[in-house]
Amino acid sequence: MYVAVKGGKRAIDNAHRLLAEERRGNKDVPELTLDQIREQMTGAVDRVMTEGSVYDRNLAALAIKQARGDLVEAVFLLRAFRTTLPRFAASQPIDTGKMTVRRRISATYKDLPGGQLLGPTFDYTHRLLDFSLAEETGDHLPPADTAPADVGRAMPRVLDQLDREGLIESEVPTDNIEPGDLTRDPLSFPVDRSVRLQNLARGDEGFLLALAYSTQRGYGRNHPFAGEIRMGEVAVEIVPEELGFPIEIGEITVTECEMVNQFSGSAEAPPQFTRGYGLVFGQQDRKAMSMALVDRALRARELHEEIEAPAQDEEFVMYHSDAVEAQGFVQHLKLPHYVDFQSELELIRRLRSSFQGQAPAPAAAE
Amino acid sequence: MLTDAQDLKPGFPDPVPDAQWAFRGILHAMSYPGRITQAGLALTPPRSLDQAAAAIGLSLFDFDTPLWFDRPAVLAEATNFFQFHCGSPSVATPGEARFAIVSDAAQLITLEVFDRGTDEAPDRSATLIIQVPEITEQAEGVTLSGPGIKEPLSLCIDGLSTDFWRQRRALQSLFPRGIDIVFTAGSRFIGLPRTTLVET
Amino acid sequence: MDTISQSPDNFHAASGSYNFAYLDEQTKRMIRRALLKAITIPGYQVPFGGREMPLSYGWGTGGIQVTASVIGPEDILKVIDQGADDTTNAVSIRSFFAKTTGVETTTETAEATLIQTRHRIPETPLREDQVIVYQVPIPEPLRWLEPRETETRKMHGLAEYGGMHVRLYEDITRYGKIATSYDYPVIVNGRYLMRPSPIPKFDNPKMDQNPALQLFGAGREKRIYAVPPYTSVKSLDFEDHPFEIQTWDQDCAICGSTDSFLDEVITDDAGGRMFVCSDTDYCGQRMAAHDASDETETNQ
Repeated sequence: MYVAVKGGKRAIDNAHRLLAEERRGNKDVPELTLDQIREQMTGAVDRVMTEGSVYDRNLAALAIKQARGDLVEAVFLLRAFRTTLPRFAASQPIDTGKMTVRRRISATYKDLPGGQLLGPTFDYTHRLLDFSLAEETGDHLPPADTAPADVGRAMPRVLDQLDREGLIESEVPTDNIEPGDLTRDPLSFPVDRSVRLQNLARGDEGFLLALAYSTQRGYGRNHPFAGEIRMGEVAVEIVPEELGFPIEIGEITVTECEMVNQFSGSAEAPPQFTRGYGLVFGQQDRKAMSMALVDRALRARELHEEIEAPAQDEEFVMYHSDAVEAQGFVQHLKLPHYVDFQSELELIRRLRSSFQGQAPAPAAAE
Repeated sequence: MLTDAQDLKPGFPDPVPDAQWAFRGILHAMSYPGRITQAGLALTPPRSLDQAAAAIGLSLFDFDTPLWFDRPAVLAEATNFFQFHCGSPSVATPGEARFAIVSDAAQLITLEVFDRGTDEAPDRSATLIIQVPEITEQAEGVTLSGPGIKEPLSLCIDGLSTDFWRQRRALQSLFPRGIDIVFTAGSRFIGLPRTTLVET
Repeated sequence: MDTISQSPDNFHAASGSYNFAYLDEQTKRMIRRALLKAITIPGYQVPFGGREMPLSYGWGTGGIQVTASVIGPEDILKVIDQGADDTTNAVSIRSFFAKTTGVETTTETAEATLIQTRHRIPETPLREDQVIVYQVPIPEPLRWLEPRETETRKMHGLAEYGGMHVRLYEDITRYGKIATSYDYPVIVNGRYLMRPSPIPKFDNPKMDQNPALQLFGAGREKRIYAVPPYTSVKSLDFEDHPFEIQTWDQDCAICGSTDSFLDEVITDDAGGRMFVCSDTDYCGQRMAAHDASDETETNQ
């Protein structure tokens, strides 16, 4: 006698236990602490905070630990936590011009006020495995020399220089436009730039990297220059209703990328440089640059450029950029589909039997 | 504006379950148009506000729902009530309102002033809460049919202007655009979504 | 530096005190307003500010958000996936609500006041005092014809559904019949083209004039729609090719039902198979009734 499969609950409970064991690994090895992840896995922490839309290094570290280092899963954990948080206030726009800069480079000028400041970067490392790290001797490294004058020096933004000359489009003032928030309102097209930038900031780094790369290979070419990339600490301010003036509530680390793009002009606009913008939490040059390139590509409609490449197609990019949405829907194919499959099975048997002009297959008939 | 804390009537005694209960009432009323539903919560709303209107408002209003009141003077207390408990802004132009509270339907300006949404976004339209003296099931009244109504039913709704039903019928041809109405009488209320066809 | 959000200490406090049905009240109000508009415009997809849920997108987050906004302490909840109460995702969603609401759960269709479903409508007819919530992966019926939301929105605005008829008719030209067996498009209240979610077309007739309220939630796509009770739901067809549902030559191998949707189960590696009810409650009820009558007979 056939008995339908039961015991879903027990299977799930056991799967959770197995997952916990797998996460812990060999118990002879000391357990990871959140402090270790927060301090020594900063690349992962920064990515999880950015795509998770929460600036909290401790929570990101917890999510990474819980997710066994699976960063998309960690982003998901952080997002699901974020949904439940009450909203106290909206911050004032951060002023990256007042950033305490730890890294600042421009590819468009050899030297500029404030200078080039390399900061902590992989850029000129030789990608040779450093076996000395396997010895855990990092504590004995000599401190790095930084020119004391570099830090805290005023660093005007490169693009403001071009703006003064009128060579680059002026940023449209958005002081009176309430920025959108796609964690509260669903996407609806066409979107304004604030929503686009939010979508890209939360977007999967791999997806944005590939799209940005595609624009460099001719799929929506927009002739970019890395006008400026800066990383450092900026103050976050809010204006409490009862005070009516801004107060500083903390400081966050961000990476900002401003791309300068060639633009040949159109019927409405003279030839000038245009902008692409990227901003992410922590230090993530790659993500910030990808974001800036895709932001610029997505301005095709606004700049009356022909929309011909995937990176220029806002519905395509914005509906598919979110790793949390994408992973869920791709992986939902693991869920049972046997009712749908049964329907297809029945259909294909009938179509085949009428194709072959034979008697109906044993399964079913309409 | 808030006059005196003592004037302010309390909201839901137990907000989470009360809001859910009130919502199920309005969900039922909109699903089965014309069926008289009881707002089964004992509230002490401002005098100008029906029990049912208060319960519906407390469960659905917040800072995302601009409100319009047909008689600002009469409904001043109600305005404060929803501003305090829900944080809802009140607007002077009916076309900007998500919800409108109407306390004197006989004097109601035309239904045309409310937002009926667009063909592409018909959900962005107003919902009217019209307080009337009495709603009774009786054959002489208007006859309702449409989604949610198994057999056509007849109702008498007091206190409406003579022109009201003509205006409401004129909206029917605009579907999917339209406005949705809840009539309240004390703690009793009915839903009249835009899909309901009315015969007088 | 970590001053923007709550610290882990607060997190531990918060994790023990989620709101009733998990969602915060502000989110519930937003969803409740969307649900009401969905009922007043049957079959129209209302955009809503879908939230991230602690379950994965594509795994029922839309249905969960709708259920969470509707459910109250008095409700009795049933959750099914593919018609069965004991499939892993149904178990997972049921335990999510049991944990966050404490409501009573059931596997019996007749006992439930609220039913969340994926891919089936129960065989037992629904009643007026019941609400059914469908999990929807892709809400847009025109999506395979037109991938752009901006375009499909216009098509719905103009009720421009000719393309869908053409697509179905192409099937007839090619195969002699419509080759869509699940998620079969319907017209609601004579106006909106709607996806019934991936239920088999076998279930489509159950949607028509149903006494229960039918709600649909698509979490990832952030859309909510509804079919009010006693509303016309018509499966698309042609005069010369009327809509038909699947039938089986076999009866259910367990309960002997001749009129329920059957799943095919492979029993060995030599092509052996059997057919059993996909609705496990329906099958179980029939068996229980059968056993009871057997017992009565024995006792006599």
